[in-house]
Amino acid sequence: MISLQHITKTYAVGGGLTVLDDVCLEIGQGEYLGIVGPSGSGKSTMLHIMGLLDRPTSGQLSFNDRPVHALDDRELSTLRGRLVGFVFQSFHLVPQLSVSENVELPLFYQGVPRRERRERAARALAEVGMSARRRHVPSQLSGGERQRTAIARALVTEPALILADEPTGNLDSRTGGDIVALLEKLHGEGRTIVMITHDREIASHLPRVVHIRDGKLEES
Amino acid sequence: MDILWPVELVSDGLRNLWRHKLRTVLTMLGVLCGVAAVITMLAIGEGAQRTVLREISALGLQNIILNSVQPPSTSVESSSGGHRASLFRYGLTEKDVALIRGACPTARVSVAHQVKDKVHARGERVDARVLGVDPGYFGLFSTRVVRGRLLTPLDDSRRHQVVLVTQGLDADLRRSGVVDDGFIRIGWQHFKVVGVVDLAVPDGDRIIFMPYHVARARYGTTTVQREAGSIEFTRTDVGQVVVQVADENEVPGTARVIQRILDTHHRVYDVTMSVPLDLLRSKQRTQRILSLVLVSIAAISLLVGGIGIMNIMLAIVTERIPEIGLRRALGARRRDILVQFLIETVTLSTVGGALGCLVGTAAVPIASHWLEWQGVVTAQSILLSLVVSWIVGVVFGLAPAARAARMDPVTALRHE
Repeated sequence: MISLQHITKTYAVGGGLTVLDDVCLEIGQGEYLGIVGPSGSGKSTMLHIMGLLDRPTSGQLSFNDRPVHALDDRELSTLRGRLVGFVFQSFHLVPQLSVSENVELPLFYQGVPRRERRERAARALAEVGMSARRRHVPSQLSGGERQRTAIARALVTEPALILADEPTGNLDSRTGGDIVALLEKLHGEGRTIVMITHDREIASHLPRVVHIRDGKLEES
Repeated sequence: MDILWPVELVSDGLRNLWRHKLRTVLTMLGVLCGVAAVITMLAIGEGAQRTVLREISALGLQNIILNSVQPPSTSVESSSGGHRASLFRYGLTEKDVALIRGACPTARVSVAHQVKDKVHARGERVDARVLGVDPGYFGLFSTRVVRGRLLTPLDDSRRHQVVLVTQGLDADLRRSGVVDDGFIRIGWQHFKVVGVVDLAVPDGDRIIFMPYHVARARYGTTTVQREAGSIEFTRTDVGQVVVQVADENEVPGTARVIQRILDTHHRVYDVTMSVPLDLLRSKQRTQRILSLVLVSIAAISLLVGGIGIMNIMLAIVTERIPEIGLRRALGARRRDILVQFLIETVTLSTVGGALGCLVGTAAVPIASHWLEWQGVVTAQSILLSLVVSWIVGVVFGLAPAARAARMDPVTALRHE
């Protein structure tokens, strides 16, 4: 479904810093992939490139055999909103918006009418068990609840791909476990998920794990 | 869809502003003061303009008014001891009137005879100018009868001993006890006051009007003044001439013709010519400059307000960098971010502007009270202020919004 061909990412600082070096990766529909590696190894950059937030310096990226690495900002933004759902380590909820409004946000940028946004947000929130907290603002939520809200936001657009960047990194192990269980459940429902994690325990339970070291990919 | 629902962005913007009330109020204050100043200044300018217009229009914009005045060089010379008798002749003459009539055949020319005798009311000296006028004289000015009646052709032909007084003089006469239908003495003749009028003529508001032929018959053209040891005769044939042309456009040309006649026949400065239209034009010019200066000052404060907004918006953008990154990750295009911040700035400046309109309008009566003329808030000035504050929002919001939109999403997301 998503295919990375010879992806390289370099930054023009101090004589060129190579973050990703000739990375090739194929992810199929409904896969649950873990990416592990030490910090600074290029995991996040790879995730950002897969999520169309960042552009590779060279190489090809395609979604369902459609090359996307050469699109302009406008097309990329639209595609990003439709294809990808992000879950961040630090949740990234908009503080002034309610839980429901936060979940509606990606639909807003797709031009979905208000009422439909409400309904779809309610469904996504039900799926992560946050229906009761719909009207709260993020500051009234616990860490686990915030991450559930963020996952609902990632689900609401029915994306082809959910990208989670250390979703348990800011949570205690019990809440983290709940989040992992939630992702597990979503995977069980057929969703494609790519997760970066530091946690060997979590990684050991994933069906497929790739390691990144110094920008190079090795599959285990 | 190309444009997102601005209504939701506005309500979003309002919510953001509401969350930081103090900051919002302080930021708005700049635009608020600027707009309030613009409104008040425009109102004062407009009020002044209307006052001047009304005062001058009352003189009749089709009129050219000539008055005989004593030339500066004819002050009474007194030599010690010996008797002196002298005759001074000054002012407009019948010949001038004939020449003016000849030069302006289409104009209405009305002549007033000036009586120089002293005026007394109940034995007290009254300082007033006495004019003998024909009944048509009042039609040349916007005259309002305050009490009683005007002079009639019958008064003129029957030589009725009646006078009208101007409003300003009336107040003084009442203070001295001359009430309606009272009598005043001019020289040695007694006149009945039959009416009080309010009319604007160039030389003040202390005038007594009597029928033209009464003035000619009773007082003649020569006055005698006795000072210690000397007798002075002064003669003025015609006290005042009012020329009324049919159309305002004829005023400048007619004024030039009359000026030429006066220049030819008067060596000394013994006739004044006032042209209300010229007066109006020059007053309007000064007024416009005044308004421009006032509004410029107000505009500067508006500019300062705009810079204040820009400053705060830059800070707000910096504060919300992670949010910008997130919105980009969720599918927002650069333009969506630009519009979002622009709407927030415009909301800020427009609400500030609207409040400024209220404050400015409220300040007008206070300013009017101090300035002793009525400020006028026009719909145009309100509209102008709102449009300007909107523009201030767009102009000063563009830089912060563009900065937010240009941000790299990955860097923005990582920003702490």
